[in-house]
Amino acid sequence: MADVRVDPPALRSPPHAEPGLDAASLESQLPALRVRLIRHARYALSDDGLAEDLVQDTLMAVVEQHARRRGESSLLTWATAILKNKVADWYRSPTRKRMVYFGTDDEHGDDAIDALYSPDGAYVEPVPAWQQPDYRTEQRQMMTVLERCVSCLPRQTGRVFMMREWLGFETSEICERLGVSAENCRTILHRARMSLRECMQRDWIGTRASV
Amino acid sequence: MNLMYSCRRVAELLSQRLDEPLGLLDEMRLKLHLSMCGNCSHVAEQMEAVHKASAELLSNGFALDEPVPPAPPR
Repeated sequence: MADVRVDPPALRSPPHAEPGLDAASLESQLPALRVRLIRHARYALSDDGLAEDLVQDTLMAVVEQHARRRGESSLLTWATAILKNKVADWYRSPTRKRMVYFGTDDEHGDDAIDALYSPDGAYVEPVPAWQQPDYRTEQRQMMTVLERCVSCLPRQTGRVFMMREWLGFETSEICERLGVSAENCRTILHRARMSLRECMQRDWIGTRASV
Repeated sequence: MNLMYSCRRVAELLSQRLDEPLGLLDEMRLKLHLSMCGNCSHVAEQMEAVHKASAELLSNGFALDEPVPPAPPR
């Protein structure tokens, strides 16, 4: 507690501290944590202001509940779980229902998927197998690429993907919350996953092979 | 009725299968197609891999610039 921190907290202290962290140390990690959580929330929401509000609520909960925190997860993982509940609650809140707006993405992302298939629906190019990452550094590299790929999804597509894969909503609930048809929802998820697969093929497998 | 689905249709079902159980007939035709099609088998594995990795990535808050843990002692 007597040690003097000389590094800028946002750069030096990634929010991965263990439970039992003291208040000053927690405080020093909040700016970096906030940036991280906002980025996360933006993928799941259509409104940046709303993302910031929910992150603010999350940070307040983090500060209030931190002393009572149990468990092994990192501060970021724990805070992300709190944020997840807040975003899910927001989608489920009946009074906010009319505020949910679901727009449409440009269609240009679809062309890349269409181009994979011949007119009779077979793959034009052979689909190569992926070698699973062997080492922790390779897994991290894979995750880094995956994050970039997720961030490149068109906004509304990314949002549906986040509601499904992060919030864990059933597709029927996504349809209900966003006012889209089940068919539309399936198509969006399918395109999101195929885009991610393509993106990983290009930016992760492709670069690994050339090393 | 065409017994074989196209690869394109199979990719849609592979995604759908991650979200909800498929009908018996869809499931059967999917399995039949996968047993005979290397391309779609790869797509199936890769879609599954992306699904699993996404769950991990998202629950950890994109915790990517955390420091790499020190290498184990040699």
